[in-house]
Amino acid sequence: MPEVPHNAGYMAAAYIVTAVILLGYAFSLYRRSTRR
Amino acid sequence: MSLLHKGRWLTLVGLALLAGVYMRALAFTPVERLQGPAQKIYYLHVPAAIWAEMAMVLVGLASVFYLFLKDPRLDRFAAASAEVGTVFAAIVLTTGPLWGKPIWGTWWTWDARLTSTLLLFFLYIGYLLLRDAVRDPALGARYAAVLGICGMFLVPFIHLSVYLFRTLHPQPIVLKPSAPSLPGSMLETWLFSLGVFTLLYVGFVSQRYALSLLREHEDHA
Repeated sequence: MPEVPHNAGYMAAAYIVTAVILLGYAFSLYRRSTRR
Repeated sequence: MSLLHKGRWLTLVGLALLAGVYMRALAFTPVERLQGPAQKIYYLHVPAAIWAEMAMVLVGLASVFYLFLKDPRLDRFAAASAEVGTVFAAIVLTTGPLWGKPIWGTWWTWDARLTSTLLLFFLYIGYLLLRDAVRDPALGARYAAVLGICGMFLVPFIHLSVYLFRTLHPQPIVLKPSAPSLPGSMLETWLFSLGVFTLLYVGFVSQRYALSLLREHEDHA
């Protein structure tokens, strides 16, 4: 049976990038609403 | 409770549930044997892609009705949906190469699916720039509506591109005419993630819509 590929680093990077984009946008909306 | 606060709460709940998606996907969903852990990018990449495309369809539909009815709520919604769609498209275009590199051996290839998704992202950017570039808001809204309608027609092409052209990108394994070919636990994680991305879309759009409304009131004051 073939060995499972070792590529968890790519997965971790994708999960981190997604969290940064979503949290960054949520924070940007919050900042824009509180600056008024 | 105002729309802004409702949107903020929905976003907070969505972000909390996103942590649940991460936990379920990383700790409680099996690793796919052939692709390894990188396959788990699927649980973020595909829901983000669905909402990047759905957001453009909604921009297009709101734009069609705006051109006929001239209701500013439709234009406001289209602008909000376009901004949120840009965020989801950015997720698709960053998680895609991170998945492609270990599986295909390359970060990027100019095949029909990837190129048309990049075009969708540029259409979103163009749409947002166009709105700001035109001084007369009513004229800017009309120009943007035309671009939004063009963007809407790109979406079916993106979805069908993997059937129409020979591409590296795989064909859908859930959104297809036959039954999903994804094992039960993986499908449950994916559906959970799709639900959370849906909630985030609604939360983000509500906040962005309310911000436009506030800005308009300030401009008129």
